[in-house]
Amino acid sequence: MKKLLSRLLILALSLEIFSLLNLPSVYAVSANLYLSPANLSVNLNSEFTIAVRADVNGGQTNAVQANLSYPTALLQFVSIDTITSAFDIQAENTGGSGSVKIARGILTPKTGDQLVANVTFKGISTGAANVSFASGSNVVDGGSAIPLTTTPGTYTVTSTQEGNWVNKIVINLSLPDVLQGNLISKVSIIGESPEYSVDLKPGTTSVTLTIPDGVFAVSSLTKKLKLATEKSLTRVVDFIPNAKELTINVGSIKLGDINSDNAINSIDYSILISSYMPKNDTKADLNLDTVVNSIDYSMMLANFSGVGD
Amino acid sequence: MKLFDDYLKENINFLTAVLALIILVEATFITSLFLPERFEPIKKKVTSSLTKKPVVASLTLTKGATSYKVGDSFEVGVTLDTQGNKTVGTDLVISYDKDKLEVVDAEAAKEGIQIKGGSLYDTVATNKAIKKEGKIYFAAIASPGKPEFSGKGVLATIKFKAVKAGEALVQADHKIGSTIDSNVVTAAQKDILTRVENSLVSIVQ
Repeated sequence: MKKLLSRLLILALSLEIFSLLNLPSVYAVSANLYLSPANLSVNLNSEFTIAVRADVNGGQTNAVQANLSYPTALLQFVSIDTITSAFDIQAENTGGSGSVKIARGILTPKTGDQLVANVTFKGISTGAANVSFASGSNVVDGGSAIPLTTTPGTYTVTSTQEGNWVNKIVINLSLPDVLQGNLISKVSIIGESPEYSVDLKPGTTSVTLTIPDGVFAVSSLTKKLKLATEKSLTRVVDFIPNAKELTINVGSIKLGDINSDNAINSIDYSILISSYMPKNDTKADLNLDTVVNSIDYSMMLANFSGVGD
Repeated sequence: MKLFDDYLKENINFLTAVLALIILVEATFITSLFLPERFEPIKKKVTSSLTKKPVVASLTLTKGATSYKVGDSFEVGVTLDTQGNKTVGTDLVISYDKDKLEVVDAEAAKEGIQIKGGSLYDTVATNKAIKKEGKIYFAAIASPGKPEFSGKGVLATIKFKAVKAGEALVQADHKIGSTIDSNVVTAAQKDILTRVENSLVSIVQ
């Protein structure tokens, strides 16, 4: 009798373990969490709404957890609308910082394709924004998760309307008076592809970048302009590209970074000292007059201990 | 006519004095026009007045005697006067007559030929005499955090040996606006050197 009981117990435990390990196979149904529409072209600085839907193929569900992730550089979370949701009990309803979390339930299980919630975003910068379901997303029936597939969406933020491109950027700056040659400066907008090379001639107080349509969109999002000038500390300046023509004040170009490590310190000093006339190592020739002497040293000393952005 | 003759006779002393005065004024004028060019060419060569700008800083090269014999050694001092301006460094580029003068090495332990630096600044950035060019490159600076120099003092002393008879000019290269010669530099990255006094050395057998 004892032997029979122990065999039955082992069998029961085995079945339980099997059922736990093969949970998905227990269900004949599967669920799909998806975004509708899956693809959309939206205008820059415009809001758009996508539906988060749960489709229980041949089964039923009484709870849904939909966790979305989105690129903050391109999209801004606006709101979650659940008025028309099929699930009337709210467990979680948050959005922002690249994540949207919606958890809803209902006492009477729902079948078929159901709306979980509508989520509204704003396109803040041009580009293709992928919105996908993150880990923790689930479709549940009676406390058990239904095997799940998820379908992300792609929303392309464009700025096709006339006048929505930045065409001109004027960069105001100042150079040391003693500069006698041209400094090459690489100008770029961090996060944007083009890099512009400009010559800073003695006496230059501003440089103008001419940018064709389709390169850099007007937006209300803060951008960073980077000015990397040879032998100088790199400057990074925040600006908002909210007009076709922009003026950005960079300030003084700080020369003295001889070894290009974005700091002016004793290493630069030692390089300069070892390059003094009559050697004239051009690396340490800060005022570009072909000679390394106390003029160059005074330029470096004026910015000594400085660190670039 | 008679009246004029009478007038001359009566005022001969006065008229003679007036004439002498006129001659004296004219002579002074003519002298002022020609004498500096004719009789003081060397002075003009040695003193580089450069521009009519007020002197902001100066470098003066001085020697102990007016002439030396071939084989003699002598020193030329280089005095810096910043006229009270604070300076972070001074560059000295000296040209000398390499056929008549040789620089005597002041630091035999070091490679090359050096001149003797002063103590106006804490760091000597460069110190090199190049015989074949007849050039001396010297620079002294206040290194970061060290006091700047203002005032008057000996920047460097050059010891020469006279090797050939004749007149030999020792001059600090300088041109207003140029940054590749001698400079007296402020923290504001300005070269304030406006006057250089050079030195002419007479060498006899």
